[in-house]
Amino acid sequence: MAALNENASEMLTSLSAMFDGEASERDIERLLQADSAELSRQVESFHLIQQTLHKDSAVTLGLADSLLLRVRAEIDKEDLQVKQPNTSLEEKVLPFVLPEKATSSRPNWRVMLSGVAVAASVSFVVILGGNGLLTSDTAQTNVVAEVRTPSPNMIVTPLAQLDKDTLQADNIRLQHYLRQHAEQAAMTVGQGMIPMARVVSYPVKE
Amino acid sequence: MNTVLYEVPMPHETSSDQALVEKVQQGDKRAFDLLVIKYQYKVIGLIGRYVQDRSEALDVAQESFIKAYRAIESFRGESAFYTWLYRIAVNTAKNYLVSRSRRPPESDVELDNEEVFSVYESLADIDTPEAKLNSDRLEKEIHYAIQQLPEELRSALTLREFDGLSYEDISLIMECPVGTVRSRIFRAREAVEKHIHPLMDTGE
Repeated sequence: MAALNENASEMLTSLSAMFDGEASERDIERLLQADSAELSRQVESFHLIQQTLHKDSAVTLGLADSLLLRVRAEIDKEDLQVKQPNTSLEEKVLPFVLPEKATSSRPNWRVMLSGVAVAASVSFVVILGGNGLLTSDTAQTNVVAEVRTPSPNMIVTPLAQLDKDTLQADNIRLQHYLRQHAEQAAMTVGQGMIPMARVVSYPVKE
Repeated sequence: MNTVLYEVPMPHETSSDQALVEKVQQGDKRAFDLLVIKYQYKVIGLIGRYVQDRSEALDVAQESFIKAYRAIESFRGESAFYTWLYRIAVNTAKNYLVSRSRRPPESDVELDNEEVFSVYESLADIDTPEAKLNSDRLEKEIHYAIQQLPEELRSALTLREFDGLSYEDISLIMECPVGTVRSRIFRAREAVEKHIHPLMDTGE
């Protein structure tokens, strides 16, 4: 009787060590000889103690046995099936599938619609971006026009009071700047040809 | 239901898991039983984060272990066994939700620095007044039993459970052989288990 108790105690000590990840080869050999259901019940109490020490009160009993038995029964059943020749090799090799591939054969309309929505969003952003580039060119053209309506804080000399040579020189310089700008715009954006044409036709006051 | 997050020391990933895996690979099904016994609570708790129904969580846990068993021949020990099992369990839970046209959570439960829910706390049908009463009573009795332990047993158990120390580290702290630490931790658990045993019987 004492030897029996000693064996049980040794077995449970080994189980306790395994629970802590400290089992030796001898512990494992000993546990392999023990009754799995009994081990499972013991581990449940170890687990309860651990949970409680960590301030966790949500504990439920009697679950472990059922899972162990179910897993074991299923494995035994599968082993019988494996011995039959028509078992799928693929099913044996693949541990699991990705969630996307695990869906049933029904078409997933939500996924398809979300794909279309993403494509539409990308197109919208591209169009908007293109328009933004064009708008910036136009804005630069408008800056030229705004010279005619200076803010009240600026000191502006009336056109009639300017010397003709000065005006001519300013016009030439302005033409030069505009031409440079239009050429640059033509290089970067196809529609930069429009301000280019406008610059070419800019009237020079004689 | 109030959700209490806490950290549980990960079961030490030692060569004992690898030894068990090798035995399973050699055809020893009982070795796989031991792996199930060791990790079933962690797996059920993990799956309970995805599938909040007790019977469904058990089904998914069962399927996860079966998949692990089927694939264990391909396990080469490049990662810890639980890390591998964890991925299988998470994927199985996600697949289950997708197959039921339910949306899996956006992010996985983190394995590193794992904040572990109770095994059952997220499972909806456990949250009954009777279950709560039983668990409160059980918790109280466990605390009481731990307080009644002799000092050396209580220290060994708490160093292991609270601080997650290895047996070797505990032996250095307590200045005793590793075998003594092993024995003390088991005796502490045994004493607490004896104290709560009547409550566990009524719980079933």
